[in-house]
Amino acid sequence: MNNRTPLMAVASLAAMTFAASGYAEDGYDAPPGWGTPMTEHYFGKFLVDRLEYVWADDNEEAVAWDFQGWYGGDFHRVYIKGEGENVQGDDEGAEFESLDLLYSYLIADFWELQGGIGYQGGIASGDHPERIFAVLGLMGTAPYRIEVDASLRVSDDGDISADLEAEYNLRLTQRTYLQPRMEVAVAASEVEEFGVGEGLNSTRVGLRLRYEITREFAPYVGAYWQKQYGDTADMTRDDGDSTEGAGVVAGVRMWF
Amino acid sequence: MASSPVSTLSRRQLLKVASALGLSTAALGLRPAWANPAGLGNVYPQGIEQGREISLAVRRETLPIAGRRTSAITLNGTSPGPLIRLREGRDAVLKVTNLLDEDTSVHWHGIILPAEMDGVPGLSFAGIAPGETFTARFPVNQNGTYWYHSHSGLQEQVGHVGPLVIDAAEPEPFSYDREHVLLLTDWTYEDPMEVFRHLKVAEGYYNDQQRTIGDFFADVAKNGFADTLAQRTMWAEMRMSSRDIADVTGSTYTYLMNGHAPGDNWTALFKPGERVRLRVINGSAMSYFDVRIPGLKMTVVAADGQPVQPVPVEEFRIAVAETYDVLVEPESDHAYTLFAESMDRSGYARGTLAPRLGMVAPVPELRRIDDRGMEAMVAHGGMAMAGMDHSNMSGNMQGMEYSAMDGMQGMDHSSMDHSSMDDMQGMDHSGMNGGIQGMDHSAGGSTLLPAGAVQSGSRYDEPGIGFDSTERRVLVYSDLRAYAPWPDRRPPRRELELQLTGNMERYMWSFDGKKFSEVDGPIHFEHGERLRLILVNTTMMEHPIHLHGMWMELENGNELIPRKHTLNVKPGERVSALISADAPGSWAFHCHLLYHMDAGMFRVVKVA
Repeated sequence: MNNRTPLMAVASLAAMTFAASGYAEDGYDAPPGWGTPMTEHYFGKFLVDRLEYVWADDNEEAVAWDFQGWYGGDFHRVYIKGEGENVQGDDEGAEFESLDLLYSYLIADFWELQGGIGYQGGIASGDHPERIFAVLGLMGTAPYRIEVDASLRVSDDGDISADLEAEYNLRLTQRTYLQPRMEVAVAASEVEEFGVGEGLNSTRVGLRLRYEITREFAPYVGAYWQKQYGDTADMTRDDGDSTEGAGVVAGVRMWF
Repeated sequence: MASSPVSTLSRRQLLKVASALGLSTAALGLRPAWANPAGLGNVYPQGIEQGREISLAVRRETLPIAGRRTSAITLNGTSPGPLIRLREGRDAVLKVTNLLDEDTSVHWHGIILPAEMDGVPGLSFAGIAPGETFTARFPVNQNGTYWYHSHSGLQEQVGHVGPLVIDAAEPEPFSYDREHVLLLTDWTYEDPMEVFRHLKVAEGYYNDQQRTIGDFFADVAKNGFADTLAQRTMWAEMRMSSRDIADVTGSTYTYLMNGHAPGDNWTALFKPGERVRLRVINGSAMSYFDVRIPGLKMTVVAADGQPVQPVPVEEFRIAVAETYDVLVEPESDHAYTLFAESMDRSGYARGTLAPRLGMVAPVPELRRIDDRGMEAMVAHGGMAMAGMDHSNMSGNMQGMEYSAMDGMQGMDHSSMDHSSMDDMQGMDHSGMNGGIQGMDHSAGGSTLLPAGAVQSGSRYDEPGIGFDSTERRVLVYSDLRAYAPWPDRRPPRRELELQLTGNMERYMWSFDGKKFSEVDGPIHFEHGERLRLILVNTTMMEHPIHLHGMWMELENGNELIPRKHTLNVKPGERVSALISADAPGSWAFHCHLLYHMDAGMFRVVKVA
């Protein structure tokens, strides 16, 4: 936990850079007090990309979510991203797989470089092990309109891991989308407490069919298949759990 | 409208009621001085302000638009505002009183006047604070059809616009028996800041005509799998949509003609055999319109208020902020539809030209949205393309079928020289913002093209996306010829080249890759100089570029160079205009798509 202080310093530095991002004056001799002919606007958005109920083939049921909120201008933004689940009927509280607070900078038309701190663990309960990360991320739209969110994490114990999410929206009608989705997790070192092995940890692919009732509110149904590999799979096997599984989901995508 | 309680009728409302009833102002004993010999009123249904001194009161009011009550900015009680009628050679005195709870302003669009009267807050003056009155006083040395609008925030979107007509001191080069103003606007019941937010945070929010999997299969059936795949792959690689034709569409907009929704059947009257002058003004925030009157030929006689050699057309595209004056001669005693279809085909403004009130004519069906093709992609060559002569090439391309395109990747059209197009498959949009900073070709004299010559990369002979050129005769920029030569015949001494740039994903719009908030100084014109402004559109959208305070003489290859206040630059196009920098002061220079301007496509031109 002694690594937290520098992490906080990085985060506050990021926040300061954001606050200091004013805009250049156009020197056209306007008297003071006239204001600028065009004002810069800041916007924000809170997107719940997935809020879903999961029926897994091992009879486990869960509520899962994946959200991201941001506020800022065109170049500098502050992000909060969270992904987690609450397994139903396990008498344990909900947990965040990740909860990240990031500063984000537009480095190319379609790409944002992000950095900040992340948290993994329970939500207001001691039911789950906790750890803190330094996070470096790259988020954007790749050619062919594939939406990508990749991050590299270093935990407060110095463990390094990375994950990649990619999704694509195939427009069936003006309001209906088919969304293939993929997640890959890798780690450089084993962290038994979190069930993380060295090397390729897991992959998960999903397909969701979404209908936009409005642009902001779109219910969906879908299915996924996931598999664990290597040490990670071994650890899961040792716990007597299955290393491969599938499930169906129903949920809603919404933003404000 | 006619339901307004009579006891509170103002003169303006009376006029509105009268015009709605088809009464002429003359019949009410309010015959204005400008009434033409035929003595016919009904020029504009929202009322008319004229005289030596004109007062405008700017308010927030609740009023019905398309039958639904909504909050709009009104000018003297109407939205859009009244017709302001000035007289050439007589000083204008316009007193604008701000009764809003926020600052406002009025910009007199297309009028040549002193910089401090131009009405741009932060540039010409401080703006008009709530409760204050600003008097704009300037000599009127031009005539024709113009308009006025707020230059504060997004007020233009909520109805702070109106027509401005200047009656000529000398007889005009054409005659007519009657005139009507057709002010086209786009109304949304949403808060404009909400619209802006949607554009900023959710690309394609208003586009309900995106390509779907169905379009893909339809194209496969038409053009074959390989070509369709190649075509779509190209767009997908660039992360662009070929259906990106309007950012804000009929999904939120109700398109209005003189403040009236299509269903209102606003009617302009004529007597068979009369020659009618239609003063068409595009006062919308974001919408290009394609205007036609089925069954009538139109003769374009003025563009942006300036007389041109007559051009007979059946349809014309009017970019945001442009004005066109057309003459029509309806012979028969029946009704004609005044049809203004939005460029993306998501809706239309409509009225009726009829001998009597209450008549209707068939309303044409909306055409199908077009996909942007090669010409828009040329845009992505950006600077690379600029130096190259592809004027013939784009001509070829227009008629070209996708099936002939044979996959851009390995494309080899021996008939065309497009050296830089090979780059297209690997084209990286992210480089676009890098742009060259206001490239300045200072005159070695000999290197500059002669005045009026067409720049390579222009497509003045193309009407733009969405027309079937075989269907009817559509106005193009190369049709425009000044009625008489404009006074400054000097050749340009230098060239200034600016790129129109954007990032659709983030809804950032700019010149030379820099938003207004990022540039560190104005564009300098030397007072008295004659220069050539070259605009290169590297984006996939049309931009109506407006220069305040000075005319832009469009170098469309005609000897009689036409002059305009707003130039439409098509995707991928490179256009040029000559400017006489004869107006000292700081002037706004911007894209007239309201949200593009607000997103950063704005510069200051300083003439000193």
